[in-house]
Amino acid sequence: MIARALAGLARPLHRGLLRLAPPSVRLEYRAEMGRTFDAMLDDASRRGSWAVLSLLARESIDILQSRRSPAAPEALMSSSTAREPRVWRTARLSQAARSLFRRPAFTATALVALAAGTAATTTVFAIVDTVVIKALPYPHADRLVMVQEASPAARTRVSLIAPVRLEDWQRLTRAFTALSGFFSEAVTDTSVVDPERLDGRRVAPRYFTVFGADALVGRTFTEAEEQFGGPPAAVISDGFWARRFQRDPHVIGRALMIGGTAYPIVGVMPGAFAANTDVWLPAQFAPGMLAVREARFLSGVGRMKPGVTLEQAHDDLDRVQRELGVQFPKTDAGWSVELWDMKAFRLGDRSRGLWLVFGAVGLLWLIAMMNVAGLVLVETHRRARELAIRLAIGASRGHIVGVVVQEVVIVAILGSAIGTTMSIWLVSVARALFTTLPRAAELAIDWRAAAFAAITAIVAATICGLVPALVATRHRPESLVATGGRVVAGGAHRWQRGLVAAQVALSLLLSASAALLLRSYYNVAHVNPGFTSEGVVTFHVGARWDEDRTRVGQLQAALLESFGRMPGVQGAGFANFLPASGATLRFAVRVEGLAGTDADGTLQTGQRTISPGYLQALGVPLVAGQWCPPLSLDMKQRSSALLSRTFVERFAPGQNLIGREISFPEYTIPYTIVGVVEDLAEDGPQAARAPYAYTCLAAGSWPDPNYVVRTNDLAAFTANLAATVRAIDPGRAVFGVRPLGDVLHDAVDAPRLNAGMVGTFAGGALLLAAVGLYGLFTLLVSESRREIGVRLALGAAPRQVVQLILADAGRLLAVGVALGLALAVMVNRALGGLLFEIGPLDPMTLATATLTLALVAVCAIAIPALRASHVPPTEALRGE
Amino acid sequence: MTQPATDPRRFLPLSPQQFHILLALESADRHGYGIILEVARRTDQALRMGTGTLYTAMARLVALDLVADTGREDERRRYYRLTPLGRRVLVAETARLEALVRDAHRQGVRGPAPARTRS
Repeated sequence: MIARALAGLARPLHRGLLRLAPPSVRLEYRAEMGRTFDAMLDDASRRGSWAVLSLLARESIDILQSRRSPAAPEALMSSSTAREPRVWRTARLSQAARSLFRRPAFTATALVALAAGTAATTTVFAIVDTVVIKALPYPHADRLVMVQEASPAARTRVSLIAPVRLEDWQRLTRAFTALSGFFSEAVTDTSVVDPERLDGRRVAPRYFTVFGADALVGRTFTEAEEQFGGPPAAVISDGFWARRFQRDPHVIGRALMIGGTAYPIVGVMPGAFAANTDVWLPAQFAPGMLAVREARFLSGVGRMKPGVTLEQAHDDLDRVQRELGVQFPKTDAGWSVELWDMKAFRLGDRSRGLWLVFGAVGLLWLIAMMNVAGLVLVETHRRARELAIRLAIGASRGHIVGVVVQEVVIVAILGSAIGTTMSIWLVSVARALFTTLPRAAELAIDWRAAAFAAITAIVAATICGLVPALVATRHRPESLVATGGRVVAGGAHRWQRGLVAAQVALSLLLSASAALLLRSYYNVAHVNPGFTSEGVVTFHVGARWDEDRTRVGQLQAALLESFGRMPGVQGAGFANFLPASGATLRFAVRVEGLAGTDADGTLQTGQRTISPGYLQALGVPLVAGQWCPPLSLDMKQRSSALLSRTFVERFAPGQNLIGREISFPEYTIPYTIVGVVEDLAEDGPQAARAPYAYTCLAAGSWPDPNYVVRTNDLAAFTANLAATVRAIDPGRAVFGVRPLGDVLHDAVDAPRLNAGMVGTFAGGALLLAAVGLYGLFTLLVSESRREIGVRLALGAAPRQVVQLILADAGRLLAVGVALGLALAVMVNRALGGLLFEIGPLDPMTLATATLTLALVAVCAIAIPALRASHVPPTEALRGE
Repeated sequence: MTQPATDPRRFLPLSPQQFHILLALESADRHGYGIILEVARRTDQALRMGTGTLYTAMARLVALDLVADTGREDERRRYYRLTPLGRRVLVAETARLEALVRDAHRQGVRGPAPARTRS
């Protein structure tokens, strides 16, 4: 049975090996060689799994040897003599392989360390490379920028762009080939039986031109399709194409039904073009919209002309905007622009954490290499006699080094091959696990990662093979023969001791960093967000911005009413943005009777648009005043607002703001302040609580808000949700249903990733350090068996022997720990910015890490130490 | 190589693998695995060739026109036969080896025992 399975594996393996055969032989005989091997395999699998394995091993060596033999027919036409050196070489290679087979413990340990090291480093390299290093997947991606307007008043000045201004910029700029913009909109496609909600983007003209991206199938929008009144058209993403149409190449011309209009699909974008988008639709701004200079809602993107720097591009747009300020003093005066490199913008603050993780995995790798180097050192000591004899009979030092290195190279190649294979799997796990990681969809082991793995293998072979081999052959052969390979205690094993102490130091550094990050993550995850997410579910009900607002308002009112009637529901409401979901824009507002903190008398505040019932559903306590009044359907009506506690404490300590007016520059009608609520973690759990204003808008003013419902029976509610919505409007899709807790969970994804990865590596490092200590002391004990025997024979208690060994180990540990702590103090400063409510030198955390390391170390040393106490005193008589 | 009567001694000495392959094909036409099995049988399992060794040697023997493809296929496996030149080379190599052994015997050098065992 096993033999069968092995044979099934052996076949493709052999086909792969055949690629390594000499080209001339391979070209002519590859198929033939495959068939011959199959016949050999059939026979072998009848004899059992061992026969299959040994056949495979023999074949691997045989094919590799034939590669090295100069037996290619064309090369040999001139000389027909067999070459003697070939025999010598192949003998050495298979000798190395046999020698490894004979020492399964060494080979397996080294293989595991190298494979795990390669897998971890290659995986993290692939992540860092994809997310931080690689250019965005567009032609000349370094010319791409994000563009926003910069308000003259606000301190956090950025603002989205008005479509009309975008067109003005495009007309007047000299630094950009193209400027465009987009806004996200969830659309509902009713061309299928169950309405499906799609992640849509409405795009301004020239959007695809900016990215310089061509469609995978079909085309992008024509100029006519981008203008008002042009024909409807849709470009879909690769993911949606696969999901809905199974990559049918004849998808072009089929239509999506969105808001009662048929949008023919004109193109499919490649997978790398964008994540999290299903469909792009032309925004087709109406002339009316292009007259309103205050309607700022587009995220801007632009492609700079070749050779233009970010500053030059900024200055150019700034000049354009100043001209517009003269032309439209009321709406444009004082405004400017803000530009970001698109890659840096998308990456946000993730790069620092990722470099940290990369550093951590590098340390782990280094520890693994030291471990293997230590193993090789022990091995060469064990073989000291054999090597000494080789030296004595005339082998050069280079030859001996070659023997050792050859074995390590075999292990290194195998280990990194296994490791690279593992990293392919690990990368797919990372892709699924870290969904908020920018560009996660692009993650893969590509040629760059493979090259990285190959380089690490070469470095590994050098560290683990060459260095120990050179160290081991420093001595003159006579001395090695004289001691019979047994090394006199004392100064012996200096190198191993050094390696083990270094491993202890580096593991402590890693453990300390991991402990800090874990503590920091714990702090972040346990911040009181100001609301209780248990029992609260959030979701969307599809509605578009260009729908009739009165109808959408009626829908929203009807939905809230029927949610409230569902069994178990304790509260329901909605808001434009949920807490900790990344919406942190600031607005300049004026409050009646307050001087304001800025020169122009305004205050900087965050803002949310909410329905009545929303804050209650989240369980936010009311500090003073009242909640929002019942949902109004009249959008022209004067409305109310609530303030956060921090708002009042920061801008009007001790004052009663209830009853006063607050006005936003974007809206003409001021709001009446009716109440004050406790702070929520609106900007995420890590950010300090900021002032927030909650405006109670009329139903329909925000068509696609986040609904939240508090219920004591989540399962029943979610099961009935779709039916409840359908009863009110069958054309609406319900989507994005998830517990509110998940939103918070996503908000701490980055610290979780950092802490999780570094924690895993620290665990690996501790394990390796333990293996190193265990290996070293096993060696020391086994070499001093005679000495221990003498001590015991002379009346020493076994306890004293153990003490002797522990004292030795203690000295080694002390050196390692001192070194590790010094390193931690130096290196952990770099963690500062990534830590939350914990200092980089937190003594408790450092102590915990040290203690954990000590505990692991003691366990590792205890085994050989106890073994030493059981040495029979008769051992004193043996050994000669 | 355009001369019809090429001197077979040009190809000497043969490698052990080449010699064994020619020897295996002397008695019958065989496919690749057939050659491996025949050589293993003749040498009492002492020489078990892998596909790499076999086909590297075969490629050379075919290129030198000592072995040829029979054109016959059985279960899609190619059969090989000894060419007349190959036969003459085999004879020449055997003669060369015989001469060597005779020379050794004359000096009193002999192998340990006739029956070979696996090393």
